Amino acid sequence: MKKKYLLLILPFVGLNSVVIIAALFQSIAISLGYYPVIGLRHLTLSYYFAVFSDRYFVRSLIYSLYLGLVSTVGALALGLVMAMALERVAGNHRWLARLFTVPITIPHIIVALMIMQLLTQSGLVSRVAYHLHLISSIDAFPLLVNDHWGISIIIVFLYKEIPYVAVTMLAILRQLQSGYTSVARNLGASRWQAFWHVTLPLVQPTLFTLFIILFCFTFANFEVPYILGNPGNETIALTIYDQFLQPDLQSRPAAFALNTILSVICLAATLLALLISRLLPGGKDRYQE
Amino acid sequence: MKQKRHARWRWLLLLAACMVVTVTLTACGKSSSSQSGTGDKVTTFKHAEKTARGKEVTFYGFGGNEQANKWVDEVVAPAMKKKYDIKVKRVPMDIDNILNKLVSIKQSGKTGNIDVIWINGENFYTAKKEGLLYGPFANKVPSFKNLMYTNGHYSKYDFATPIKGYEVPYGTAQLTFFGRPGDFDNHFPDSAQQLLEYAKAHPGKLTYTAPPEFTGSAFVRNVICNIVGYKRVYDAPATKAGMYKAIKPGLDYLNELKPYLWKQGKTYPTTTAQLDKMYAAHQINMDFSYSPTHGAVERDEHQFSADTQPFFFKKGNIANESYLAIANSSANKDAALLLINEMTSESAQVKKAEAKYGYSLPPFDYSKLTPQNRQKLESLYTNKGVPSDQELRSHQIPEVQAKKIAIIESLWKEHVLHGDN
Repeated sequence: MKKKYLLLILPFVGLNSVVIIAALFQSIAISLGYYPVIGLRHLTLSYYFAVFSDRYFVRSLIYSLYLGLVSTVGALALGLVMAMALERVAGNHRWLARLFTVPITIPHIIVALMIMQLLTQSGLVSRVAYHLHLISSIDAFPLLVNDHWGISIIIVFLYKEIPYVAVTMLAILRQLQSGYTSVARNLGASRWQAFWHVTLPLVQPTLFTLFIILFCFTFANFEVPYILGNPGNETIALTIYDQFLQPDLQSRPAAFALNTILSVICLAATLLALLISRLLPGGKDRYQE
Repeated sequence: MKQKRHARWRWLLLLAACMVVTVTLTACGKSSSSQSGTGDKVTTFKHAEKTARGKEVTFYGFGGNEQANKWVDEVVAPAMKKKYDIKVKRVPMDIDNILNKLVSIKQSGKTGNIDVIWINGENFYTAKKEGLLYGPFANKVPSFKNLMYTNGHYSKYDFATPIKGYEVPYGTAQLTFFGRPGDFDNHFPDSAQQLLEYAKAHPGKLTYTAPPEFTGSAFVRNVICNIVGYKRVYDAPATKAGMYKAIKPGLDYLNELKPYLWKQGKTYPTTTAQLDKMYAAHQINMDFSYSPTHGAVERDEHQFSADTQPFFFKKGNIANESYLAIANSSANKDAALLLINEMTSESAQVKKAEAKYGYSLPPFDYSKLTPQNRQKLESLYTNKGVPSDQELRSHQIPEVQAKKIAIIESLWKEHVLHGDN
């Protein structure tokens, strides 16, 4: 029996080792200055030093973290609330839960373009407001795209990720409701107590897993800030893209160094999230059936 | 329990085996990478006409322009089939990806399926430097010899990189400003200085896309060349310090302009699509494009109002040609040569200039064309808001050296975008 399962996961393991060894290994090699095609053969850490000494690196790192954290935490909190609300009413309105799966199927880049059509000053919302005499000219419409705080970027992420969190959590909440939560309520726990002491510890490992998936995605996302971002606030992914597309191939190693740093940050965030989740109530059961 | 541990060991062994296989495969792929090119050559056009018959040839280029794609599919491909029984396969791909692909092909040391490439500027500089292109071949192309300015600047230099027969001009591009005469009291600014005065009198009505966006980057170079002179930018050493010294007055100008831009220059649009939209909505009064016919295209589609007109700085706007080149790794260089000749032929280019294929401007010396074709080309543009060939050619300054573009972009970022902090 065991052999059969091993054969089943073999394609995955094979594919992953190709990705890990061929791609990651090569990009680390290039970031260390080994890029024979353009005549670079000497290993050096200078590209990493160059990245760290770049005055805009810390700035774009903080901005990327800001976008990633605000979107992820916002999506988790609102998604969980949404899932609990749905769980109450969805028994009678099945289509409601289905409606939530719609945004999950639309690609990020399409949502970004939709938001651009809607929320720029010359966009649909602004023009409707102008025709209704809510604003005196379209210039009076608040700047939501290319703005300093990346509002439209966060809107895109929330629009995409809240339903994802909600649908995932809804499936879990439904299982719990008939079990532990009802028991707690029957034994006299208030609604809040049941949530805090029973539901939350049970769903917390899933929330942290979702955090890892969403944070790594939004932190390193390229297309949304590319379309909607403020040129003065570059995210790390945009810097990498810019360096990677420099026609001068000599700037490639720096792009790959930044790429490696980005991956290490995602890995660190993942480990940290797993650790916190393990220390919190409910975390010890994480890997047990 | 024991069995479980046993299974884990086997699993690890399997994993290790997979990795070993992968490493070997990757290593094998790389070992033969020293040689470049295929040894495939073209001797003469006549000879190629015979040997290429019945082959398939690929055209790699930017695929985001529907009209240009249609032109290849509806005009060029049928002509190639009819004349030479050659099948043209159009592969839409951004030039950066084409370059990456050519590098991988070179790394693998094999022949690739990339034959003809639509290329120019910085990418030509890199591709030529890394030995990714085949040449010289321009003098074997009849259209080039018979129809173009064979000794003109743009036949010799592409973004100041010597061409040496590795490219054939394919289309004319020139940074062109667009505006509605009414917004400018019927007098368009003809220098950077006048543009600044206009901005001061009409705060918030101008902006440009932030470099490294391609067109915004050209706008910044154009303004800098207008302020400090093209020669000074051309002569400056291609280092950050050298360039900073040379273009500082231009950067100062951009900083002086900044508070009068849209949103006081605190933000910029990031795509030309946005710039077009803002201009169409009268949010800003000036639009620009690297395509001189952009205004006419948008007018036809009723995006821009019919009074939109092109204008230039008196000292000239940055211009370049886009080019066709042959990949060194191509195994069909004879067919590639025929395709390039067909794409730059009088018949195909006159078609390309029609509204339906996007009003592209041919790279021809108009005096070498047949009177009919010359008249046809000129009549296409009347009353459409497209500058005449003469107007374009009398307002041209060449592109600066390719490697200076990235330097100017980073200086702009440092001193203009983040200049106030």
